[in-house]
Amino acid sequence: MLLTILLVASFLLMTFDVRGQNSGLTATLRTGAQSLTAPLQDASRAVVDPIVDFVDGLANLGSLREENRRLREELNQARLAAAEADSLTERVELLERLMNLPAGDFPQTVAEVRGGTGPLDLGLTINQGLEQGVVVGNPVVDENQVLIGVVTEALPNSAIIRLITDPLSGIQVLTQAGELGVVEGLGTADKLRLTIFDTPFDIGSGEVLRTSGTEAGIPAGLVVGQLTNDARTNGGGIETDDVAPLADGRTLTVVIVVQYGGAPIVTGTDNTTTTTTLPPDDGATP
Amino acid sequence: MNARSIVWGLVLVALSVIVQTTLFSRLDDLGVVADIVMVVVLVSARWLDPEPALLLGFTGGVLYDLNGTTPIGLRAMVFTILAYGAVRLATSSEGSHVSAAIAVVVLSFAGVVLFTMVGTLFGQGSLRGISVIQTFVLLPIFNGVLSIAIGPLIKRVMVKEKVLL
Repeated sequence: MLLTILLVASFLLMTFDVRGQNSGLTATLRTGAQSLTAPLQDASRAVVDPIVDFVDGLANLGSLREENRRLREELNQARLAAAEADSLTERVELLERLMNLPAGDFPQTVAEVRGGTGPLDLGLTINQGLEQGVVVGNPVVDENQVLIGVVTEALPNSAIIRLITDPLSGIQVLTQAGELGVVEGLGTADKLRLTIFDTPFDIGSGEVLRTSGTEAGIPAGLVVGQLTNDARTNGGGIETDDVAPLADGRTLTVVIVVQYGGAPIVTGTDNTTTTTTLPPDDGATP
Repeated sequence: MNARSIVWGLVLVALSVIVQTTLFSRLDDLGVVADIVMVVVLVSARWLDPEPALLLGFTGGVLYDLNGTTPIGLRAMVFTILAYGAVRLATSSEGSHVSAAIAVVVLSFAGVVLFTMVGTLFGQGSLRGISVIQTFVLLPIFNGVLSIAIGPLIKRVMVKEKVLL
């Protein structure tokens, strides 16, 4: 009897939650529960993070020297690329002025990652929410402005992010040839699926995919992923799983929420809110 | 019914949610981590009467759902059914830690399958992920290993309380 009651209750809760879409009783319950668990999660992370970092450091000690050498080479290449990017930046700014476009300045909120959401759903909980201007649909990036996910639930002082690697995630992107496609998660941290309908162009390995700006709430130009192999059109279009995300959202401890296109419910003077300029769309790998 | 055992069970489940969302979320180098909340529910349920075990599963599931992206009630439903399974297995065989771990593996597998099926009905995309087979295989095994590690501790807490009262 009790089993039946609990199963029916579960079913009703699910129905209310899905139908309610982040409002009503279930949203209130979620808010209350996260308010209670947030301090515990923060305390737990304060203990766990140094230990996990220490163990990670020990485990990777052997590869650190090689990593160091590789990073030096990359730094040299990055300096060269930066010099080229400067001239491209000037050109983009000129074009933006000519086209009377906003220069890509969006308020951004820095948030700490409280934790993941479990092994069977790819999400993160962060410590900034509605009161800091974070709303559902806001894109979330890492410190290199690489898109890692989108806010799917905003509570007063916390929010839940669905990572772009989640199978439910779909982000519209543009190739360097200007073709519109969709990048979907595959449930793994290292692969994404790119689908482009009706294109005559192949895409080369190494090409960086950026958000198209054609969907509400997500600005153009955010880096989403990079092709790891050539993707050839079959005459009708392209579908490839050889897209690598350029940031692993699960390993981040700090993320940035880009408040673009969503009106915050409450605004205030928050010292974590800054305004920064997104990088120019020069096609360079970050 | 041992009220203090129930309270201990709830405390353990609440703690496991915190551990899952903080420590375990950083330990997914293989792409899959153990579900400590599921393990705690399964192991604790063996030491409770049927009704409290079901309530523990339901409560743990709701608490977990409230901290995740899944619809509230999804894990509650799955964990309630798993707790029922754990109680049935516990009463039919009073086994060793190994047999308990095997029960955890079997029930975890059933839990992942159930989660995926019901989740898909309610708009979750787990079935579309290419790692679904990896999750189906590895998560139950990880849960079984974890149950061997924390099972005796949970038993000690739950049974000790029974003896004390």
